[in-house]
Amino acid sequence: MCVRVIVIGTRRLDYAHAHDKGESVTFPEKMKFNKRWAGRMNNSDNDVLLKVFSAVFEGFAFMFVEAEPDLEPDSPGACFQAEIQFTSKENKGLLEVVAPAGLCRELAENILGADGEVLPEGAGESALEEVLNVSCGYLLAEKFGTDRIFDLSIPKARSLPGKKWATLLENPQYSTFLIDDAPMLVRFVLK
Amino acid sequence: MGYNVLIVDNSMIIRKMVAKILSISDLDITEYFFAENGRQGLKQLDENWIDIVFADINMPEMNGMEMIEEMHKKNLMASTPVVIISTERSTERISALKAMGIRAYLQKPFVPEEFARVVRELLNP
Repeated sequence: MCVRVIVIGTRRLDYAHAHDKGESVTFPEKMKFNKRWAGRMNNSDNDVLLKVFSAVFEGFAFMFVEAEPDLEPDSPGACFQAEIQFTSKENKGLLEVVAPAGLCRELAENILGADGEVLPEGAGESALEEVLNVSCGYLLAEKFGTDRIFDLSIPKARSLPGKKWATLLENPQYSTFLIDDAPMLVRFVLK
Repeated sequence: MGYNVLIVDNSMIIRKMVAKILSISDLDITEYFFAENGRQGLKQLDENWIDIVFADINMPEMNGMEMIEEMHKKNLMASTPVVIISTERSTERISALKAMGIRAYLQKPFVPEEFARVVRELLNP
């Protein structure tokens, strides 16, 4: 019998088959097998998404990303949602992010080094759009290499009422992350 | 002698980020010009003396490659260094850009120190 073990590190999610390793496993409370994560676990892109967004948030804004399968359904308040579409001869799809407005503001402050400065209007949205833009390019290179040419759409962030958060969270297509303890949803669709 | 810089990117945060990196570097920047797409970038080049251009590729209305093609037609590429700052990772596209005469390619997200080093080398060869 094969037992899948989820090991949650500070920076990445590793999967191991305990049976294959001949190891016995105990399950601390935080790492208990979770129905919601089980659905998301079947998405083999979770590891790549975590790697990509970790690199982009750290590179741009010195912010740290971790996977959080047990994200609370409570709304984080007003959010921004942004989507970018990609096409190539072989594939097409989209990458979407949903993040609280507060996280987007902090992202903009960190990118600009704007400690205590007043941010221009729209800075949070612009920061989220750019993170999505950069992440999409990185993600496609990770998945398909650098030989394939992709055309990307111009991402545009839009406001999302906080009450939509719980609905999105129920959708197993979304991967769930924490960015410096703030939640973020990511959806990657390949057609 | 100070330099005039043109930053062409549809992302407001990138335009501000690039300007900030340049302003805190030891480079002598006289004036910053901004554009949200290639078409606006060409207008800035027509109306102002520009010493160096930073441009994204993926922009609405006129993208970075189209802007560079137009700069070629106006014989601007030899006198005005162009640095592409982009998310593009396709080796074919990056090679095509270099063949068009760009002086440097910086992939986002870039390290500010590396960015400043590249600019310094271009402006003070």
